Amino acid sequence: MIPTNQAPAAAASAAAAGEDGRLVYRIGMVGPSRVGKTSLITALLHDGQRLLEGTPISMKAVGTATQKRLSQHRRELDGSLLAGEFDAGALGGSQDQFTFHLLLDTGIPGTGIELQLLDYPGGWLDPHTRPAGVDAQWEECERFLEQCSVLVVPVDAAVLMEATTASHLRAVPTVLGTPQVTDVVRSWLKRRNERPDEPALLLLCPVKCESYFDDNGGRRDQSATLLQWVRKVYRQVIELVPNEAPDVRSMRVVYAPVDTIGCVEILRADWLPEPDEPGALTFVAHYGVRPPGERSVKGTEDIMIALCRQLVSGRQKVEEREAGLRREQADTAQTFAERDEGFFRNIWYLVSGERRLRADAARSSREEAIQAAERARALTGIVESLARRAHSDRVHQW
Amino acid sequence: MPDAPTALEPVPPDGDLPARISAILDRRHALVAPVRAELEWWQRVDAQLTALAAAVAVLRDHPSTSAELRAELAAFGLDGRVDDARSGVAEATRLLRVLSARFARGTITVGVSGKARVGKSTLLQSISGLDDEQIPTGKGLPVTAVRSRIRHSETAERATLSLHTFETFAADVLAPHHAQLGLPGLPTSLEEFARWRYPAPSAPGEQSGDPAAPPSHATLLKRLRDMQAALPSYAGDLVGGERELHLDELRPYVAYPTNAELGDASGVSRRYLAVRDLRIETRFPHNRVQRLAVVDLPGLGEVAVGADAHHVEGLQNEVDVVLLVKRAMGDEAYWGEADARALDLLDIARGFVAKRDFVVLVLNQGGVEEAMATTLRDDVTREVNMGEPDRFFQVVETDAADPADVHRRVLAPVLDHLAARLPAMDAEVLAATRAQTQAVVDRIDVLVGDLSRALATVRAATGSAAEDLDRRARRLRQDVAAGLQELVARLREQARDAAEDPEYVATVERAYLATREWITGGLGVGEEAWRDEGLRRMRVDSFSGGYAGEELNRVRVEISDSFERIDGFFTERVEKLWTDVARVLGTELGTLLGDPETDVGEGGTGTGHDALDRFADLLDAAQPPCPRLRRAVRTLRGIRLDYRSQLHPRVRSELDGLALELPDPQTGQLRTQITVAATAAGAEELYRFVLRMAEQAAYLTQKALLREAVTPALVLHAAAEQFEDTVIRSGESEVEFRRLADAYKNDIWPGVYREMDAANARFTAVTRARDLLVATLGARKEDMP
Repeated sequence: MIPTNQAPAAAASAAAAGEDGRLVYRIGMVGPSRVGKTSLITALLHDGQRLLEGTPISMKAVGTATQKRLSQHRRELDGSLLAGEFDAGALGGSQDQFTFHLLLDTGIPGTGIELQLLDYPGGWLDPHTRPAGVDAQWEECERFLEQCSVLVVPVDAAVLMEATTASHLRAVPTVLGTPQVTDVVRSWLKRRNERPDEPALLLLCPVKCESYFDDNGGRRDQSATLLQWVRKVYRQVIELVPNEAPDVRSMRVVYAPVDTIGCVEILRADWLPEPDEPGALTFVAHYGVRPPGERSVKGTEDIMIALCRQLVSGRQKVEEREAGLRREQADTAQTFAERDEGFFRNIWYLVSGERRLRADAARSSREEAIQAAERARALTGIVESLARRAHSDRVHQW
Repeated sequence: MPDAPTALEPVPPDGDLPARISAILDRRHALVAPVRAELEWWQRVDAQLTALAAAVAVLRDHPSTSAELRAELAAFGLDGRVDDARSGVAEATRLLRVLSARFARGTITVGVSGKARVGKSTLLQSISGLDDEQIPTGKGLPVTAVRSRIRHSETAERATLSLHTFETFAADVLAPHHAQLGLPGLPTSLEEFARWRYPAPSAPGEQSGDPAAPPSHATLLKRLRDMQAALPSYAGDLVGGERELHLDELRPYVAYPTNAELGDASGVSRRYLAVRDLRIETRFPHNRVQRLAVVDLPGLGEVAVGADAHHVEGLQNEVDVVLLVKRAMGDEAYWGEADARALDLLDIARGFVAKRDFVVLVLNQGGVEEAMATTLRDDVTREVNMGEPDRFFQVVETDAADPADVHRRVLAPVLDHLAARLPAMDAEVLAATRAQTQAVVDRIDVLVGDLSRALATVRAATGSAAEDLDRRARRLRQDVAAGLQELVARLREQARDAAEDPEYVATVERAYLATREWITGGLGVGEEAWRDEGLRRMRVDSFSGGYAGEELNRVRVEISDSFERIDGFFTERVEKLWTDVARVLGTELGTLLGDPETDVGEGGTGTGHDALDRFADLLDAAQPPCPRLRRAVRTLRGIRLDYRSQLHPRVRSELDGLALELPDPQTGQLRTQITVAATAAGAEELYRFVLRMAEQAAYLTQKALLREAVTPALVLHAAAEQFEDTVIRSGESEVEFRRLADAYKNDIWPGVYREMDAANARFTAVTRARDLLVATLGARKEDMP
């Protein structure tokens, strides 16, 4: 059992013990309103379930709030797919700060890995558009973001790919919030640099990429153009990594485009003048549904692989440390881990939890204990298996 | 130096004299040709100087002549000096005519002069052997009315009359009288003269009608009236030409009417009035010199119009020596005022001949009392020769009525003197004439030198028209280059620096919206009609593919065509480029392409392409033509910018989705995009599909066109740059700009060359006249005798 009392509540580490003692893997997301964060999480859940089919491990939304939110999003999306077309703006954007809880569930209480993904109104990124009275919440968000060892930057691929005129291009940074994104990334990297031994992962995730790849029902492959645009528009973000986190030994920047729906493609895009802001444009993409209109997420597997590699890498680091501390008491190790207060501590909890399960199973020889130990081993095996998978061709790493 | 004149003494017969005289005359005659050549040379100089003066006057007076040149001409006082030079030329010409006449004479010519009644005719009779019938003499009234020239001839005995016509009579005789008397008008015919109303003369010595008129006017008026009254007597002789007469027939033509005749109520005959000149050939009785002539000069001091001038002119041209006859008359035996005046006239007439050589005073002492003869001799010695005999003038005495005495004491010494002195006299006249004419030449030389300096100052400042055209052609090329470079730079900025052409974007967006409107409005037929038709077709076909495929094809073509709307933009842009180029050219090409501001492009009456076409034609029509420039213009005019040829190929793939079957990008296998049931629902589904595909295709086409937003600007920039490159930097550019400038200089620089040509022509007229004159002056140095 993973001890439930080990999680310091708000001291949100990237991986922390959950309520029932399971590992909590915190993932930050930074992007403007309607960029597609919820869609990405929905896609992650949807595809995660597909990935784990036939294994003792499942992926599910944890907690009523997350279940409701995802369910609502799903309903909206399904409705649109049935209608044959939809506008990106039709999906409700996040109005409040919200943390999604997804669980890699072993079925044994106190085990599993909980992915916590913070969603918040994209408008909060920009001090100009951040509503009054949410400062405390935003600070909490920032803390959450800074303490994640993984930061996901969702990018609306259509904004990049449908900008054709000079006025469109001028509007792109505003629509994608790149200055604010850059600020958050910079802050996150500084915090990462304070923990140079921890693996860090920056995920650039173009979403709504269905119209630009021909490997998921699309007619044409414009993936190179998309990559080019991401490099160009997020050049500053990418260049921040070596500058702001030079000491982090295991920092990865992964470009992983995602077809969040799969069966749609863009029909047209409008760049509409902002009535309140002269010169500013709002981007609205209109999508049509490809027959037969069945959802076909693609690219989230690469995210999962990246996350798993992150976990495996952390585990290896913890086990190496433990080997060095073998002569000492377990308490000493725990003290060490707690002092560390970071990703490693949480991984240590995971590892030590598994160890206890194995010890319990060996000691009691009870069926439940043996099953629990096997489930924990299976989860570890799946994570390691995913981590070993190769990324798809869509992925680029810097 | 010529030999000093010698005193005339009676000389013994000299058997060698005729030969010497003849040799002298032959040598003298040999000089006629060079003198005439010199005369012709001077006539040429006169004509050239006249032309030069006229050219200078035209240049000086033309309003366009620069103040600088005007000042130069004024500073040298060229016009006044040209007039002076021409006067000098006239004098030189006159001197040479005198010289020519002198050398051309085939005889030694002795003039006989003197007041009336001194025995001139008697002397002439003694020399020539003629009598009163040919050389009238008489007492009382003057008798010799016609100047005659009597030449010794061994064979001929004849008189040749040179007769007036009425015109020459009016001009030579009447006109001077009218002028002298202040009478207006002049008869133009015999009849008119016959009817002419002359005022009645007052009695001699009385006051005439005109209180200011001199007394001589009464005499002249009477003479005129006598001429009018006697007109019937000579009207028949005013026939011009020459009339040869026997010497016996001569008297009526040479003698004034006698006193008796004047009193004849039947009328007075004045046939002498019809005679211009009289030449008589006869055998001189006592003359051994064959080539001798004597001239009867009209009486000095006669009251006759122009008599003195006529006398001098006659003397200068016709005689080698003058015998001035003086005789004591009545109780007058002294050298009087009239004699002195006669001598003055002869002094003028002698020209460059020493007065001692030219005039011989002949005292006709025949029939004169000794005392009177002595008195006259002494008075002449005192008054003429300052008391020293023959000091200034040689004086001979003779009895004019005694041919032997005349020959011995007058003719023989005079001829002897001439035989000795004529070569020296001729040399003196020649040298003096040459000195005089050379002075004129020198004056003209200086004048021409000054004129050349004045012209050189101006010419150096202005250069020639050809040089100016070279300069202007170079400047034209530079200015056209600058204009084109500015245009190219502007286009480059639009093509490279600016991300897009806002007008192009707006044009594409308008075309897209119109296309979308067509799509959403029911694909050109309306949704209901489309579905109805679809349903019918699908039912007939039993499947959807036929109709779907046809419709997708139709929509594809329609959308493609729909974007041709942007061709208006391209046309406008290309025309604007042509207009901009035409304006650059027009600005520098004067009026060649019309007024660049009003004739070309916006608000103008012509288009840029019209102007460029015109320019190309002009380049072709230039002589020699400008093929390289013309090709550049034609190439520029040939640029095409349109949706179908430039952009459609680049955006065509965006319409690929509008097909029923598409290749699977992964497998390459054709995949049918949609199949619907042949039902109303199927038709609606198909409609939605086609609509969606059409909308996407239109959108993608728009997007692709917008990505090409820079293409039109690139094409225009490239075209302009190529044009500029060819026009300015091709190997033939400089040469062809020079040709262009040459062929159309009056259009490119209106007025400049027409005026410059005219100004240059005026200038050149002066320099050419100057050069001709200089050449003529130079030639003289070689040709002069």
